[in-house]
Amino acid sequence: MKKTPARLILIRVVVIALAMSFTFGGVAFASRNVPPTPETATLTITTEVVCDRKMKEIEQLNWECSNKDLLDNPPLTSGQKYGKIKYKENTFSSGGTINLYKDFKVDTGKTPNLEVTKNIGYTAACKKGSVSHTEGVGMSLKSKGCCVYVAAGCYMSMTDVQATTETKAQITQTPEMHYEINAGRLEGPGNPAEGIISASMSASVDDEHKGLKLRYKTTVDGSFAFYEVMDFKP
Amino acid sequence: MREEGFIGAVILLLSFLVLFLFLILPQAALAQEGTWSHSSPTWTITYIHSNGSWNVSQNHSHSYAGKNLSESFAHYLYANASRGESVILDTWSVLPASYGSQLSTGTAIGYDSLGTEGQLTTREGTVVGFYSRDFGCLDASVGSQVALTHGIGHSSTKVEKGIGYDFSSRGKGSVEVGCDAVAIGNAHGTYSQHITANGEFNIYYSADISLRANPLCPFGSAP
Repeated sequence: MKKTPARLILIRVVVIALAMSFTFGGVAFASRNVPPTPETATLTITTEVVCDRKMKEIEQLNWECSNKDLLDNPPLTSGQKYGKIKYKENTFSSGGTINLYKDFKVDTGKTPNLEVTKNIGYTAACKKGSVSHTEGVGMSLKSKGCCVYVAAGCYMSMTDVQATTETKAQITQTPEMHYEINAGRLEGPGNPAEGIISASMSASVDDEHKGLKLRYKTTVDGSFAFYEVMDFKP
Repeated sequence: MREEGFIGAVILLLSFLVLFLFLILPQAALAQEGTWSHSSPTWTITYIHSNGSWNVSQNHSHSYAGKNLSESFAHYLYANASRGESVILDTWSVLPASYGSQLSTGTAIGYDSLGTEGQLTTREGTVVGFYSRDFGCLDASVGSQVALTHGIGHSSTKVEKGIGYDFSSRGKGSVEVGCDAVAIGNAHGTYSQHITANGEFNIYYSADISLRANPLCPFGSAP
């Protein structure tokens, strides 16, 4: 009789849609964006790597903007707005074959201001082989008496995986964030991946009268198919 | 007959004059705006094909300073081959453009150790500084470092109101490629990406960073 390994427990954490609605009111919240600056920049980065031994990839972005020259700050005075988007990602693989595809786009004048899609496939070729991946995106908006902060990301350490992620963030229109991750096995959708994975989102909104804090995190360890989508929309 | 000959001579003279104006006008236009200088000819091509050991080291630079724009470009290539069969082609060119200058660089390499312990190592990159009243400022560097026992590689850079870099390599050995950029205007940002791969690899990398004036801007044109 075929023995089922104890580790091979199929865990499906499926579809956690996190839509945050605030009691602050949509119109008031939507006005908390930072308008596009006179000159804008676009970044379009495409990365494709296939490697059978060791691979390391590190990427980071830090973008700040304001609607006026913010001299003698803090504190912000009436009518002054400040926005920031941060992104950091690193991937490291060894002892196996990795197939990485990534599209990274920034447009400081159009939304979404940040858009990243990624596909990671990995199969270990030896016992010590693994891939680790960390990704995080954060955005903050500040004006006099108001502060909005949103962050999302994932961590995974796997021996066999086919994973896709999608990240979107914007601050020059109504502030929004979207983070989505789907992880399974290489052989096809629905098959379980091996390892540990976690995904999280946190948000805080503070103004003169109200404050809201929210944090959500899922961690799965073992053999699993994993899908999670998290949205921050006012 | 004499009249026809005279007319022919005038047409020929005018043709030469037009050609001459086409050749010198872009440089002349730039010269009126600012200072255009470069450390080497405005275009160069380096080609090496060898079955032995060799090394090459070269740097090119260009700078321009005008009323509303200043820019500086630099491109470098260092390469070393030991045994095996190797080929390398490196190009650099700078041309006056409608707004500042246009830089184009290209590097292509190929190597086969032919069963020896040899390898080809190359390091190439481009560094750009772009300071404009209309579009903002950009400091960026792109480049790669490759050590091949067998394989090929290609990179190209184009600079005009930003920077575009394409790199691809396939083979055995190790490769590093990446980009660093700082953009400063009314907003400012930093960006970096670095990739390293060891073993048998196939890598494609493309980075495009563009600056533009924003027509949708509620404040109108740039200060």
